[in-house]
Amino acid sequence: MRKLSLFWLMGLFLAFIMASCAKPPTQEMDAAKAAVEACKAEGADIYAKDEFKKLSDDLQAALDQVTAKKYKEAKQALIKIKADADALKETIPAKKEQAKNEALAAQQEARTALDEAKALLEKAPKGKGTKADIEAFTADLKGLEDSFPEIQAAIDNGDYFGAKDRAAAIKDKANSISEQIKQAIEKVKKK
Amino acid sequence: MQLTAKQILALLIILIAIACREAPVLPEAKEAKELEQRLWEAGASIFIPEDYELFRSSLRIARIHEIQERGRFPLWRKMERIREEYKELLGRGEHLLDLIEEKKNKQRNSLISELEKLEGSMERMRLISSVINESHGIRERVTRAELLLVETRRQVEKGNFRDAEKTIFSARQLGSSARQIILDLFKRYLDEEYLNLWQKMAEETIAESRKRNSLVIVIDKLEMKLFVYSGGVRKAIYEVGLGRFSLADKIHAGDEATPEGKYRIIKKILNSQYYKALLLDYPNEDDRRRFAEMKKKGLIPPQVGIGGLIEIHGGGQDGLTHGCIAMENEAMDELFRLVEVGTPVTIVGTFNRESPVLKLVKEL
Repeated sequence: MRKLSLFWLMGLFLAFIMASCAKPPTQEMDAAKAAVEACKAEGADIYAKDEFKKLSDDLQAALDQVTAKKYKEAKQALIKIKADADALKETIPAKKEQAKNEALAAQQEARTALDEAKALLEKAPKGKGTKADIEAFTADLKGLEDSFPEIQAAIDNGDYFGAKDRAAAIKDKANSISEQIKQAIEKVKKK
Repeated sequence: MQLTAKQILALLIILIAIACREAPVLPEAKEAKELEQRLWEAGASIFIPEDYELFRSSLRIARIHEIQERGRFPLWRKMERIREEYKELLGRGEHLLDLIEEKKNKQRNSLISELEKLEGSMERMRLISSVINESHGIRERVTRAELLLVETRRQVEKGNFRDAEKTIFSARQLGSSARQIILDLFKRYLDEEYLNLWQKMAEETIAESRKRNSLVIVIDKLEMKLFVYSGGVRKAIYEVGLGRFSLADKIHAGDEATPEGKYRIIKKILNSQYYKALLLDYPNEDDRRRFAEMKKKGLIPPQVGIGGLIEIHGGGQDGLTHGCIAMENEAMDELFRLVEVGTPVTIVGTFNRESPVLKLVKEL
């Protein structure tokens, strides 16, 4: 009986020593943090907002496990987070490319609408009676032309969503000016 | 009391069973996590960054407490304390959600209010620019500002208030610049001294028509209208076109402004380049005196002359002239029949203080 008690005591002592000597999974922590940071640097917080938020939350939860000294669970979670972050990072260039292509397409549409309005104005009958209208429309189109480089500036800054919105606004305005030019031409024709 | 090996084993099995018992999942913990997600989606990091960070830290602490508590021997676990911690967090989170909503509404309302104000201002400036000849710089800026306002509206709809603030700021600057151009153009038209002078000039001309029972012409540049009076009574009104810089007074040749002053028709031209024409005696004595004074002060380059050949002519009212007064050919036919050499022609900035354009300018 004495031998049995001693055996149990030693077992408990060993278990205690092992538990108190367990180390935090520093390597996995660093790797997971770096992977999440790399993901953000790639633009995940813009192009995959929700997925990135989940990843950040998971990382925080794993770090909380470390704080609570639940190293085994934390290690497993951190390994998974690193893998998830790497996988998410892989998807970002395609998403970015898609956003860029959409911005470029919108820019092209705006260019076309602006060129059409200019061509229409070129064709408008020029005479003493239309000078004022033509000057006003020319000023409108100059305003649009002056705003046009802002699309490229946004694209160059990687603000593809902003570029797309700006291009859409220019396109709409150019189309509206084209309509006004057509109406002015009709007015002259009727005279 | 001595325990047998069997009894010790049974005790150990019971202890292990108790130790392995998992603490129940706390519904409050799940709710708190969901609430944190809702806060993030609502834009807590933008609208209440400090409170949100504090909430997240408290959530982390609660989570760590939960993990630690779960790690304790089941008999000594105090999960109720953790539940209370989460419950307190839930209350705080809900309050933060209300706070975000309140801040959002305030910011949205303020942006929309300014957006509407600026949109109205752009509309007024576009209207003003459509009835004056000096529209170029105004239209350009208004168009650019309108584009920015469209963008602002889109950003507000998306709840992207931070970018909306920046965009509306640029729109405001362009709008201010356009407004300043208009105010500079209308400076004399907002000046009581000028308005009184122009009104006096028009009234004197009409009084002369009444006194001599004769025909006179008064031209209102702002209204772009030519009035014919006979015996002091208004007989006809015609729409006219004016110089490219019609709001300004003519000073010298090439300034493309229509002169202001009291003139007379000195020649009726039946076959003009612009259908028919009535030549005025510009420059008159006042024009010459002012031109000489300005030249003396060096305000007019030495090689520039005072100009001349200011006419009322046909060719269409919609055009821009170099300073002449243009009318539709049919109107010109009528006027040509009515007037004779010597007919007084008074040209003023405006004698209509209630002019809708002036009202719009004052509203800017």
